[in-house]
Amino acid sequence: MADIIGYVREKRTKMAIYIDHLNYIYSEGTAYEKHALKDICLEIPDGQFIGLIGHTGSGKSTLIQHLNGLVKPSNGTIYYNGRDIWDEDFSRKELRTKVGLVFQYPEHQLFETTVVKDVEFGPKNMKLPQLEVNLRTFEAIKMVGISEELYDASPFELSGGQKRRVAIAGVLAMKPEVLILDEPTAGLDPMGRDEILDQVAKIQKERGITVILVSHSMEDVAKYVDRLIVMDHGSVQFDGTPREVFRHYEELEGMGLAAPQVTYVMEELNRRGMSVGEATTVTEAKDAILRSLK
Amino acid sequence: MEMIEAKNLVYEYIRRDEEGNVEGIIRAVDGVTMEVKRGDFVAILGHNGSGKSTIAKQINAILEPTEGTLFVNGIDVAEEENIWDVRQTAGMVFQNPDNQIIASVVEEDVAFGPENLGVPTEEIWERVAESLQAVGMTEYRYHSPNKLSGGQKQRVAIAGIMAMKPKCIVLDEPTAMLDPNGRKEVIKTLHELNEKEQVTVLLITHYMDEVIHADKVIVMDDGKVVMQGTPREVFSKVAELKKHRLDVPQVTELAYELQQAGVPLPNGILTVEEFTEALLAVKGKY
Repeated sequence: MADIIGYVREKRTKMAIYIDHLNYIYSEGTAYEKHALKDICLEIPDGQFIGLIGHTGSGKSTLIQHLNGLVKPSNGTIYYNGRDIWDEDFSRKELRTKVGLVFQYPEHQLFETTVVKDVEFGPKNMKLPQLEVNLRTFEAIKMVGISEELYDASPFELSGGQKRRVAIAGVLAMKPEVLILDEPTAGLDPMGRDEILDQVAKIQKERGITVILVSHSMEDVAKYVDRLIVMDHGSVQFDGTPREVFRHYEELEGMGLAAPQVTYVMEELNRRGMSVGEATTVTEAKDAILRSLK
Repeated sequence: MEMIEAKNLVYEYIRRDEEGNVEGIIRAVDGVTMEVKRGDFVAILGHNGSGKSTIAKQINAILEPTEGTLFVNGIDVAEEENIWDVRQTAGMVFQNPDNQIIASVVEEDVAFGPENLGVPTEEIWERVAESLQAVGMTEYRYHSPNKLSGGQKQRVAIAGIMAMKPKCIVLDEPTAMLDPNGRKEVIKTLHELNEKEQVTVLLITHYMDEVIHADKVIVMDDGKVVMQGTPREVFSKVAELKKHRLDVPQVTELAYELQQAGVPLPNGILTVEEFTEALLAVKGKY
């Protein structure tokens, strides 16, 4: 028994985030009661690039709000580096600097007069020495690919894509260990989508941080993430590599989701007798088809 | 007479300082000549800031042409006394469903437009029933809009426009905030309205897969029309589209990549079925 407890404790300590039988019920005891999260158990180790998908109302947003302590579980526990985040002596204020959450349409939350001032708001609030604040601010702005001439521009004069990067820089400047992005590419044009996600992937690699990307685009998650978590009706339905998850495309369709278009192409080719294997991205599909043509 | 006819259309945003002196001029629409035929389903593609939303606002007489002419169903949008005629002819649906819904019951929301037009009460309720039927939302008639999904809210917004009996609907990125299911619902509804009610549809979007069934695709960049044609014609030019910060559907991209690697596939493949047929035909030659 002691061994098991020791093992569990060790595992929890090693994981950046460990979610243990999490339940959340909205407006409990009223006519509007809704069981939004049902018995969620997840292990999120350091340094993973994770995609989180599910239709509107599937519970993804409620789940990510639990990860940095914005919402308190109805029951169940969330451990951050082995510690229960709702322990009395656990600082959730500090947690929010370690688990950075970029909301949908984050540019609506820009408010300062210059790009630099907006980005330094977070680290300043952390009461860091001024030199450290400056270092982090400029590093974060550079990381998201905003050029120097825009440092003193008003955030409101920037394009939609640029505003969004400034908003992301504001969270990066707090040097989070886990970065959660809720549909960071909504409303952007195709090139703008690629630029933001390329940038996020680069930061994830360079800093070795955990990234959780909430997305409606199956093509995007297939291209970028190592692990894909699918939510439906408040529960985790699938959890695996994109290839493993997209194998279940029929069940995904039943949940209002789909697989990337190339997955269907490969499926159709296999069905018609040309054995090409599986693919979830254009590059994978191209390589597989070329191999089968040789 | 076409539904929408623009000739050398220009729009300039003028930025002024506190004293009212001109600080800068941005030419958002720069000499656009285009037409949308009666009953067509036309899509406008373009990156953020390419001028496509400005044109939509001009078609709805929210913004007046700086130069050039724009006729909607033969009505000159630049004449102030035509504003209400223009707006009744070309209804507009915007990106965010939550900003467009005003009433606390779905049917009242749909009734708001015709009520404002002074339509007799009895006819209003007929139109409400027809419009909700047309967008497939009849069963939600007595529901509260705030309990609906994003796709359902957009369909209610479209029903509200339909109840004003427009000849044309202009939609500015109506699916940008929706999940894949909501997007499908809205696009399917638009095609049904186009086919069954003969409403002309002008759809502005960033999603390439939403436009493959359009009659015509117009690509804008830097305030100008840079490409136009059928979806097949436009999506055949993968490299050119990428230059304009756009993309192609994934299967079109896959076909293009294979072409580059020497596989002799035809240009402008748009669907999984087309791709499979073409590749199996090619495989026979290997």
